[in-house]
Amino acid sequence: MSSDASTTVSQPADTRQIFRREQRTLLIQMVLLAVFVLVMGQMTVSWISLIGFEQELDPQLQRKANAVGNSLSGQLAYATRDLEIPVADLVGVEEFFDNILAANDDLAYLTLVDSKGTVLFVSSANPGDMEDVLQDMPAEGVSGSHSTTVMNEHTDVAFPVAGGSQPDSTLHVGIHSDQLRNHLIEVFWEVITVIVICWLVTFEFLLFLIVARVEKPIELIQRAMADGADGRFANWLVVRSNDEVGQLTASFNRTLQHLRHRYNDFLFDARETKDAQIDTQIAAQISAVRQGIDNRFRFQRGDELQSRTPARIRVPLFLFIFSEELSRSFLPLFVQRYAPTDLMISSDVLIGLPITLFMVAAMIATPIGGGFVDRVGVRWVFLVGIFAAVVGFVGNFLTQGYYDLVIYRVVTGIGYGLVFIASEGWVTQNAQRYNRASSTGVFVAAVFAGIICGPPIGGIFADRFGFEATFLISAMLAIVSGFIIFQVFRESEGSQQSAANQSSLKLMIGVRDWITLLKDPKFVSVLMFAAIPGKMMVAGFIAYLVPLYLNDLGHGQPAIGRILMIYGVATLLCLTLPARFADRTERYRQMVVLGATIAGAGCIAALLTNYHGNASFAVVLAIGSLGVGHALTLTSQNSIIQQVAERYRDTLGRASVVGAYRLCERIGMVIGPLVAVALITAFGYQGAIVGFGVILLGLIGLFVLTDRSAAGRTG
Amino acid sequence: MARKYFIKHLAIVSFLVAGLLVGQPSAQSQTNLADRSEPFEIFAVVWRGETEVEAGFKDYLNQRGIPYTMTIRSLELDRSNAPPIVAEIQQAQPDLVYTWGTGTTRSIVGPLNAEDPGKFVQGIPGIFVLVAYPISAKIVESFEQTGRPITGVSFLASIESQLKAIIDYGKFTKLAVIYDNTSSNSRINVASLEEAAPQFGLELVVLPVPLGDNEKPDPAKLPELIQDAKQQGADILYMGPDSFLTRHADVYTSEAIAVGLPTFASTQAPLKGSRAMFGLVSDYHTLGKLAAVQAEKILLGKQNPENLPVASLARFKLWINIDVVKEIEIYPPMNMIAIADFKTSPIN
Repeated sequence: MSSDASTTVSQPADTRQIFRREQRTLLIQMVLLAVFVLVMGQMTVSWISLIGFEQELDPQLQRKANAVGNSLSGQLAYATRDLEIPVADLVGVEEFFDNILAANDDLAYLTLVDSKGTVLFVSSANPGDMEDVLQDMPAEGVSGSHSTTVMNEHTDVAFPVAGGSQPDSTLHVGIHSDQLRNHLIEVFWEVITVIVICWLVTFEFLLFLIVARVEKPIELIQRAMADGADGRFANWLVVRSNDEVGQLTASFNRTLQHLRHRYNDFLFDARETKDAQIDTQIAAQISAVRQGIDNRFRFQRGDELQSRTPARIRVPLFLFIFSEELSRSFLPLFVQRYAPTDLMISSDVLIGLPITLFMVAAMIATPIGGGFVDRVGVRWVFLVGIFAAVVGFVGNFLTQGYYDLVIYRVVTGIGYGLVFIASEGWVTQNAQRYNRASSTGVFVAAVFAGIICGPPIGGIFADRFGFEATFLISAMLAIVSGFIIFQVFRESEGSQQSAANQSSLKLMIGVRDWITLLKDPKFVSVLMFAAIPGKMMVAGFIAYLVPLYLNDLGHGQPAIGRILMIYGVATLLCLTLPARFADRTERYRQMVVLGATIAGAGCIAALLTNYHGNASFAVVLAIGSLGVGHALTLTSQNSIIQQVAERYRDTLGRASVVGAYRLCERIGMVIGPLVAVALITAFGYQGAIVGFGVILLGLIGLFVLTDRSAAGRTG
Repeated sequence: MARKYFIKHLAIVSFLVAGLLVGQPSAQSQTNLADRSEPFEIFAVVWRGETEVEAGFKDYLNQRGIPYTMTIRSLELDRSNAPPIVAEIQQAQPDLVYTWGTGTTRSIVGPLNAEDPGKFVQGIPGIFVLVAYPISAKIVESFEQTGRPITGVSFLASIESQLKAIIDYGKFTKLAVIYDNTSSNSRINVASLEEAAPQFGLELVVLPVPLGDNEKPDPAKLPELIQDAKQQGADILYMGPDSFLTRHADVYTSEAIAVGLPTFASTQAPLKGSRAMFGLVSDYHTLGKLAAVQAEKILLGKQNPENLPVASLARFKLWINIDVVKEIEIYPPMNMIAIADFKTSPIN
């Protein structure tokens, strides 16, 4: 899941990297311009339509109040004026009002007040509020057709009720003022969601196109030209596209080819001339000149120049993560529908089980897939993983009962694990030379784009087409992702043994090595008190508790998806700067502590805000702080583990240490839903959020203590 | 899968289109019939002069453009006036005979299996209106299959909707019914009340009118019976389709008002002609239109009335006499005011 993203390690950028960064101005300008224009356009259109909406909605509510008020006052006047029933003797007025309120949920209350200001009949959607309302309500009668008074939470529209021979009375129609505001806020968030998602998708695809089709080929040509400046003309460029840049590379290749032909012609001439010489001295001179040329230029035994960019993984990986995240907002609710109730196990546990087993499956599939990456190459592990995921999605689409639901989730989990390890392998292999840090960035960005876009879009799909159909959409997206991998990744790519051996994929270490690692206090403390709790929050809080709780609070699927999106957005926004700061100052521990504190404090703050009656806001706050907290800790945790691994470089090997760490931290994902079930059972949803916060803070406290003592021992 | 689905879909659509195309000509032929130059002859016999029912009947036929001539005769409240009219009808051989009320219908077209069928109109399609209980009056065998070439429209709201209207008024718990025990109509009515009232949580007081010297119910006993009902704790009187009570409705309702009891009526007469407080009744104009729909089916559709079920209205009129309400000071609830028809009773 999410934090798996930061697998590869940030390393100090070398000079070449810096050189490349300066080169990228065109790319950055283009992407920024496109996104800027897009955002500006979207914001303008959204703003205009929001204003139009507001202008439409307000009078519409007024009109509705008028329609109801005129009709009601007419009927009441019929009773008092035409039938001459004394207004105080009217019967069943409150039932009559109740019917009207039940049919119009925009209306807050209806009251009938006689000419002396005595309230005769009251009907209210929210009877608790009525005392305040009756005090605020204008006491004087109405002149003209109606009069509107804006009060605290309501707008009151008063209508005269003709009494005929008796004095006129007054009908008050109350509208919820916040009704309008709520409508607008709802629309506003929908617009923001769409803008953010458009932005991310545009960015992803634009970057994919530009990097793969323009930037990388140009970089290759540049390298070939630099080679040419050094006299090396033997290499050729491998670019397969047939677009403008592809044509340029092709003609460049032709130029090199012609040069090589000419060189061969020259060699032939030289040999002919040399062979024709009787004078050995002249022949030696010719040989010397030829040798001199060969020393200065190289035309033979060239290499393929190929671009290795991890950026090509972006779109397929994004699509895959997106497809899995589509079900994020409703998975527990989906499971709830099928969970058997006649078992000894509580249904909460049964709902959490598919999430846990998904994680277990992914966890087991990861090292196995790592082994396969070495043997059959990244491409095939990718394709097998995607195939498994598609089978799982389709299985969930056809779900008949709880058990096959769980089995297909496990199948999807296996696919998920395989795709993840294949992506890691791909990034490692393609990033080995000089751009390791930015490769990690590519990986993280694609994963988080998926995490951000998946839940809200999936929520909308689930709302419109149902849970099952959303799994079918997931399957189709995963197929598209597989198709891109199949097309874009070459047979030969990603199977280089050398690369795989260097990768962090080899996880199988012996029992003795495990004991060594588990005795290392630094390793254990960062694992137990920072990494595992982080994963636990993702699986237990984000994936399990939040969808169930928000559903319980009455939110629909799109709203749940939007709120879940906050996690991804918060993480992505806060990822870069703290990581740079930590790198520069090497304050990794402090950053981990700060992140966990923010996350824990955010969950506990939920308790406080909750007392103001807004339970949903408490969830938003907790999710947001969790996102920020994870952003702070992710890279720093990795750096700490790298430091640990460095010490075992000559004994266990760095890769093994990192691999062991990755495997262990996923324990958090397995226990997450179970912890959530236990907390919810004991304290209810709100208490469980606070409980998560307390756990985070407690563990990070232990981290500080153990880390200090460890530092004391080693230092 | 998708293809199979598509074919199925296509089949349904084709079927519908075909149905429309085939259905069209038959509708066409019906309108053609309406254009026939010779008008239908309708012979109507009423009890006491023309009513709103006949107006509604004619309105509908005129709206539909059905050509007809209508001859109207009245029995003037006396069955002995019937034989000459029967003879006149036999002579004229109209396309349709229309009869108003139980008495009229029985004396013009006769009861089912009459001993001397020669005294009644035979072999001409008939329509009756304002017959409360056509089965027990032996006019038809059942509402679905009438058993003879006669059909009609029923004009009473179901006993359940009547009791619901009483409940909805919100004040009444004990219902007293004073009735003519010699009339089968009334006995049927009381029996169904006894069955339905408990379901609505209503108590029922049943008071048959004692017979006088002539073996007929004695109208002089009515004030006594109303007092009796009041003493037994009744808070409302119920007046069914009872011709004896309808005849004495003025005395009955005025006496009821005098002791502060409202009267609920299931027919229009005690509301329109006397001082019943409220009732659930059919609108006579609409009822006439409904009868005309039946007539159209017989005349244009060439359907045998025997196979035409007795039709009934889907909606009834909640009639409230506001002057009586004010006099007794039992006001209807707002929900009822919103849907009721308020009238003023004729005050003697």
